[in-house]
Amino acid sequence: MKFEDIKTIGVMGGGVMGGGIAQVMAAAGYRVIVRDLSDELIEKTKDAIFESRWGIKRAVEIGKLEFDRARATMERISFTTKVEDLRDVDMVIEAVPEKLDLKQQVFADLDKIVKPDAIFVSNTSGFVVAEMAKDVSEGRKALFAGMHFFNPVPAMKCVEIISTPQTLPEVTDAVFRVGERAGKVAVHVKDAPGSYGFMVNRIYAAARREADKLVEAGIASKEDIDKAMKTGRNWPSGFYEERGGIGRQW
Amino acid sequence: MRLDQVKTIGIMGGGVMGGGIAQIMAVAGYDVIVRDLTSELVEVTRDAVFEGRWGMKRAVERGKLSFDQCAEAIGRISFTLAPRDLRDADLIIEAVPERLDLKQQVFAELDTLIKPEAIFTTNTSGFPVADVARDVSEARLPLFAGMHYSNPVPTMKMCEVIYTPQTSQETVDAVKGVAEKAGRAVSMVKDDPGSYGFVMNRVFAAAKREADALVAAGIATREDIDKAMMTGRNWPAAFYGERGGIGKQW
Repeated sequence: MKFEDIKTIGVMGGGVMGGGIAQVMAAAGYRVIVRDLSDELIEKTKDAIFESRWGIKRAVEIGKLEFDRARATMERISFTTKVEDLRDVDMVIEAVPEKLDLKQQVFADLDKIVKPDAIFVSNTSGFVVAEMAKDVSEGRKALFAGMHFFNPVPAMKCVEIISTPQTLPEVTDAVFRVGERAGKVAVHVKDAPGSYGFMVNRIYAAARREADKLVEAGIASKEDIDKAMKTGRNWPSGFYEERGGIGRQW
Repeated sequence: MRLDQVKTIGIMGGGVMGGGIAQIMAVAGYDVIVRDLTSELVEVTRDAVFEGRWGMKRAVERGKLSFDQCAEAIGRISFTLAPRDLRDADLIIEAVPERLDLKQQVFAELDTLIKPEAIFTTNTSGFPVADVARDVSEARLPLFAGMHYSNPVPTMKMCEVIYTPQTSQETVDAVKGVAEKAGRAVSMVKDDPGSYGFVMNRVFAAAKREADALVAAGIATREDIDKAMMTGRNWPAAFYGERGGIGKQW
């Protein structure tokens, strides 16, 4: 599967991340099918894509997207509760909850259902990609990569593209270019067995551990650490303050 | 020395940092005397304070400072080559080059010259403040603290105020008060013997070590790490890219 051959993208698991990914891919011109477990979950994903603070309608209202493009984008997204509806997609982006065994199971199921030349990527925040691909066929392992987006997806530009020793270069290249076509700044990361987190999360976690040590040792308070990083480094947020995230409202 | 008694500030060592500190203190209403080693260095500092990109005149032109405030602040700054001209200062802020022995030497000399009730602070980036204060008299130790700024001082709001076990509460309150009067976001930091760096530099250095480890392991390139931290965390700058700093132009 080459970059030029990718027309339709299946998003496995909606919600805030899957919804955001569906939105940016549809805006980039791809046909997108989102699969959720239930009609209730589909409604939530729809709400994230169409009605939320980072959704398509607001993007038009704040001058980020033209009205007609928004309408065309909305028409390119469809929803289903049936995994079988993803069988003809050219690329699957998995965004189910962050549990390794769940992701392994989901990919094993998809491997049997989705056409053999489709690319599989996971939006895991940090599981080793080779481990998630453990239960797919050998042929699919060559088509398997990581594609880690940041929340809120429509606003955050970064996408980490993770390749394993088995990922074909043409697959890495295709995934990278899909990320770029969706308006993201794509960066390459090599899968690192035994770790959790790619670049951004690992580096940020190291900083966080040092900050925690300073608090623990009574050297500075949480509030003062946040203040120093924001005013001394111009970080938009610190470690300890109220901050949005999955399950919270941005 | 209480906050309301601080009227005159002596800056020991101009340059980019000392000049920036002199500027914000003069704008805050303090009389400021800057001591540099040579007339050439005085000119460099004068240029930074008045003519530089972050200097006072540009601040007026950028709409950050009123014309009259600038004119008055210019009138409150004087320059000298003689350390004894600082003898009546209520607060000393030392900003000589980052060498421990030099700072110790400078403070030992100032201790004999300057009135006994004056507060001494150092703008070291990270030497333990107790080490910097090693050679001053016992009587000066309660009046000794750290006051660490981030470059460029006029735009970066951070000020870490570092206290040792001997720093008096009155001194801590006065130093914090002066910084706040100068528009700083103050973080209180406990002096930590055996370390280098207070909060901002230590936390950032921990992140940098992790980034270096990723580069060394071949997991990602420097360029991609910088890109990812800037677009995935919205940091204005990361580790390896072009970034201003002392000796470079902001």
